[in-house]
Parts: sequence; C-alpha cells; structure tokens
Amino acid sequence: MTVLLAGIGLLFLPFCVQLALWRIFIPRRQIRALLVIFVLVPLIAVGVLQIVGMPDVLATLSAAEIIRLAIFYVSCALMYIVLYSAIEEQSPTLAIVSYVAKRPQCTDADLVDKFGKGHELSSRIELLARSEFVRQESGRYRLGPAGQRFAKLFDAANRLFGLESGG
Amino acid sequence: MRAEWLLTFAPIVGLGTNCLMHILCRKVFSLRTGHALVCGLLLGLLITAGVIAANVPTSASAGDLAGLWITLGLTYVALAFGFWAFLNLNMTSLRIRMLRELLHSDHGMSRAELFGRYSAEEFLRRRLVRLERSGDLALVDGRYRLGSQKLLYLDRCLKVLRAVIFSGAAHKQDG
Repeated sequence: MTVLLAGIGLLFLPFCVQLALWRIFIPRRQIRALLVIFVLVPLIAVGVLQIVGMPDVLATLSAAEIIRLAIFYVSCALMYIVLYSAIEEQSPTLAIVSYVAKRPQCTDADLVDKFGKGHELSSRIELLARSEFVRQESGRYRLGPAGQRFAKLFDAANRLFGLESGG
Repeated sequence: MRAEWLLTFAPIVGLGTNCLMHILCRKVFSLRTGHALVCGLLLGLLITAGVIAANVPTSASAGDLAGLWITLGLTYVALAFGFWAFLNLNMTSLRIRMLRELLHSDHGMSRAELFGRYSAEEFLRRRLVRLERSGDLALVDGRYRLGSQKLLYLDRCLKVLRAVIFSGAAHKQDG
C-alpha cells in the first residue's frame, strides 16, 4: 500500500505545480515543459524531505519496491502527458462528433463547410513549427532534428506493427 | 527475492506480451488493427495478472495485497494506454502524417505541396469513414447523426480537464 500511496502523492505534486505554473504563464512548448516538471518535481520533493529530515518513506521500501514505484510513476506520468495533447487542443475527430451532436441531421455539405477548409491542417503545421519539429526555409517546410527522430520512429513503428497509413 | 522482482516487472512483461500479440495478429493472422489491439490488450492483462497471482506474497495483509494489485494493475493500464496512444497517433494524427510526408521528401515541402498530398477533403473523409466504421456516426438519408455517445462522453471529460487546467490560466505564452 505504501508504494501506491507514495506513487499517488508523487503524481499529485507535479500536477499541482503545473496548475500553478499555467496560471502564471503557459510555456510555448507545453509537452516539453510537462516532461521537465514531471522529472524535476519528485526529485526536488525527495531532496527537500532529506534536507528537512522528515521521515523518509523511501528508506522503508525495498529495492524492488522502489523500482515498482518508479515504473508506476513513469507510466502514469506518461499517460497523463499523452492525454494532455488531447486536452491542449481538441482532436478533429472529437470536434466532428461534437458538431454532429449539436446539429443533428447535419448534411455532408455542412461538415465540408465546417471542416473541409483546411484550418485544421494549417493549425497543425503551426504547432509543428512552434515545437521546432519543422522549420520553414524559403517557403518550404523541412524537418528539424527532433522532427526527424519522431518521423523515423513512427515510420519504423508503422512497418513493425503493420498499421494503416495515418492522418 | 526472485518473486518480488517478478512482481515488480509484471506490467512490463504484460506490455511486452501486448506488443508481440499485436504483431502476431497483424502479420500472421492478418486481423484488423482494432481487433489486434484488443487481443494484445487482453492477453497482456491476463499475463500480468498471472505473473502477479503466481508471485504474490502469502504473508501479506489484505490491505497490502489490495495496494499491490491496484499499483501493478494501474501500471499495466497506463503502459497499455501509452502503447495504444502510440499506435493510434500513427493512424490518426495529422502531425505524425505531416512529419512522415516530410521525412520522405528530399527537399522539404511547401504548404501547397503538403496540402496537395493530404487535402482538407481527404482529412474529413478519412475521419467520417472511421467514425461510420466504428459506429460512432451513422449516415441516414444523407444526414449524419450520432451512432453512439461514447466519443461525446470522452469529449466532455476532456472539456472538464481543459477547464480545470486552463481556467484562470495565463493567456500569454512565453517566447
């Protein structure tokens, strides 16, 4: 039970830090900022506990339990960060569903009128450029180093897992 | 001692099983991606539960046992969600599609070329086909209506989270 409670505590702390931080300023690269927060905050918390001499929870755990806590923390933090990309910006699929729910009986022309203008494509290109995954040079988009790594990773996964073409 | 470490890595073993099952289902049995995902998820969960059940300490109290099952169960669910999200991104994400288009172009692409490879019309059609195939949308007499409420509930949950995170948040971004 100690591992579970410590894990929940460790997850709660960076989430609160994020809420507070987002009220002061929203980072330009939000996912990267979240990764930094979720790495640094628990390390700082453990460090502060050591310095102020509070009862050390980690000392009561075995090596296997500490690893279990780390795996629990990392997997749940990553789950939140993955989910955050859907929170940050409404997914186009959910936007379509939400639109149809608000306007039952909508026709194909209504949907084309609302979603067929390319606004989503433009906003995604802007997001990629803002995150420095792509850079614009003399009117042409090229992959930045991070974009290159991501593109290769997803390309390899596409082949390994036999996925349908994306988009 | 060995049992304690097996318990610790049970969710990772489950995730590995999930991945292998997915590859097997797609490459050997040629199942559809959705079915392969479900098969992988369930077998991974079964293996995780099996490893936990086989190595759980007999002397542990009921509270500790509950904590152990919840911790390891949540860890597997989080890992499996990450795997699903990774595969889903590959199939549905506009950004990943654009990155992959750019990867295969030698001299980069202009905005017009990117739009040409993946038009706004195609963007909409792909989503409508997926939504109709999954039963979330239904086309009746030329008019769309919701076939299921599940994506709407998901959208509402995300809206609540968005409100929690962004209510009172600064509007300006740094940089």
